[in-house]
Formats: sequence, C-alpha cells, structure tokens
Amino acid sequence: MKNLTLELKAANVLSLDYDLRAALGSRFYGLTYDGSHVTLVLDDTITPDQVRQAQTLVATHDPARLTPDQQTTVLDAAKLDQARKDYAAAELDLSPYQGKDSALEKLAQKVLWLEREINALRKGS
Amino acid sequence: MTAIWTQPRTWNVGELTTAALMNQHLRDNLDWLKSPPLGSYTAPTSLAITSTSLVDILAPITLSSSGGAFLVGFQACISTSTSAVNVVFDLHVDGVSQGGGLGIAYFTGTGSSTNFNPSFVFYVSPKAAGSHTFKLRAAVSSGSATIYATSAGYNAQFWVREI
Repeated sequence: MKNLTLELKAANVLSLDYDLRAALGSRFYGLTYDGSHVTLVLDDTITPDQVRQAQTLVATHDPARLTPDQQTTVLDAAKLDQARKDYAAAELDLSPYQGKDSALEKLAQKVLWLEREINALRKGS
Repeated sequence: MTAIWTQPRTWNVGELTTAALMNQHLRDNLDWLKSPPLGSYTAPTSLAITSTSLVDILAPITLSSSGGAFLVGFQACISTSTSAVNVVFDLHVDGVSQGGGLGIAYFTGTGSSTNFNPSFVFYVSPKAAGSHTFKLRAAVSSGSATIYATSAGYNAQFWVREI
C-alpha cells in the first residue's frame, strides 16, 4: 500500500472518492482529506499511468459535483420538504371522512394517529 | 530537564546513603513518576476518511521510553456519511499493528446528522527502553467518516504516556 498526498483547497470527499474508485478500481482504497491536502491510499500494483490519472482527477475535482447517492439524497430531501409544505401545516381533518365508507374512515383515523406519532417522535417525546 | 528512571536500588543494612544515590534513586525516580515520557497531538483541522484499508491519521508521536508499558488514548467527535458505516481504529507501535485487521477499536456510525464519541484508551505492553513511534490508523467500511478538530470547534486528541 502506498500513499500519495496532493494539495487540494476544497473537496467533496465522497464525490472525489467515487471518481477515483471508478477510474482506479481495486487499486484505490480510499482517501483522507484534512481541508488542504488529500492523501490517496493506493495499492502497490498501481501503474504510473494510473497515478497520473489520479493526479488529474484531484487537480480537476469539482466539489460542487455530487455523487449519484448525494443527488438522490438531495432530491429526497427536496421531496420531503415539499411534502411537509403541502401536508404538514395542519393535522388531518377527519370530518370529511365521517359517515362515509367505514373502511375509509378507519384509514383516516389511522393516518391521523400515525401523523401524531411522527410528530411526537420528531419532538423527541 | 528530562526525568531519568533508574531501577530502584535495593539497600543493604549499614549502607551509606550518599547524596548521589538519594538524588538518583529518590529524586530522579520521583521526578520521572511525576513527569513520565508523554506525547500528545491535537489535530488542527478536521479529517475526512474514505479509505477502506487502514491508513495513517493525525500525526505520529515519538517518545523516548525507559522500558515501561504505555497508555495510548484518543478523544474525538466523529460522524459518518450514512448510517451503518463502520469505523475501525488501529495503533501501530514502531510499525507493528496492535490490533490487526480488526483494529483496536470499532464503532458504527448512524449518519451525518449524529455525532458520536469514538474515544478509547489502549494499553501497550512494555517495550525496550529507547525511542518508540506511535501511529493512529483508521478505515471505514464504506462512505466516509469525519473526525472533527479544532477548526470545527472540537478536540481531536491523540496521546501516549509511559507508565
């Protein structure tokens, strides 16, 4: 195992790790980043071409670029944020369901109960 | 002045206790017990780790010992990128792993929104008197772990003390 330390002003650690793993495969074990330098942990069998490839990836790294997982996380958070705006302003009003289909009324009661449980959990009670 | 440890003398009946002997066996040994070889390092900047193979972290500590054992400690605040990221810490003494592949301490993170304390104290058996280098190493199972340091308002401290 060998280490390669390079200067790097800003990093999206997971994104840089993702790109290096995609490029170097099993010859890249991961990295450490301390805010100014990144240290790549490389297999002893790494070739000079792959070292140059790693150096280029670090030099051209864009911290704003997200990994697919990070993109999914951002999208999920946006969806949840929107759903909270759309539905979480007030508890479910049971009155429109009363006297209707009994199964639907029961379902609405269950939804209201779950809503209250979730709110309690979010408040830490 | 660096304190010097000397194996305590076994006194004989009728033996003259000279100033030199008292200074060496009483004063110097008490000085050593009060201030044994000690090294510490506080990380100035936070450190992110994605390596799935154990890699050196923080700075190594080298001290000159008197042949005793050591206590090694690590104190920090840490978080992981997602839940169920395992973080392994190992210690190298003079290049020799103290915990093997499983390390000497093992923690599981619960995601970026939860910080936790991965601190530990580890006993290292006596080593021959002389210079010894201690290196802290870490790896993650996937994703990343971040050790927060002074730059983020936290303390990440690695220390070694001969006992």
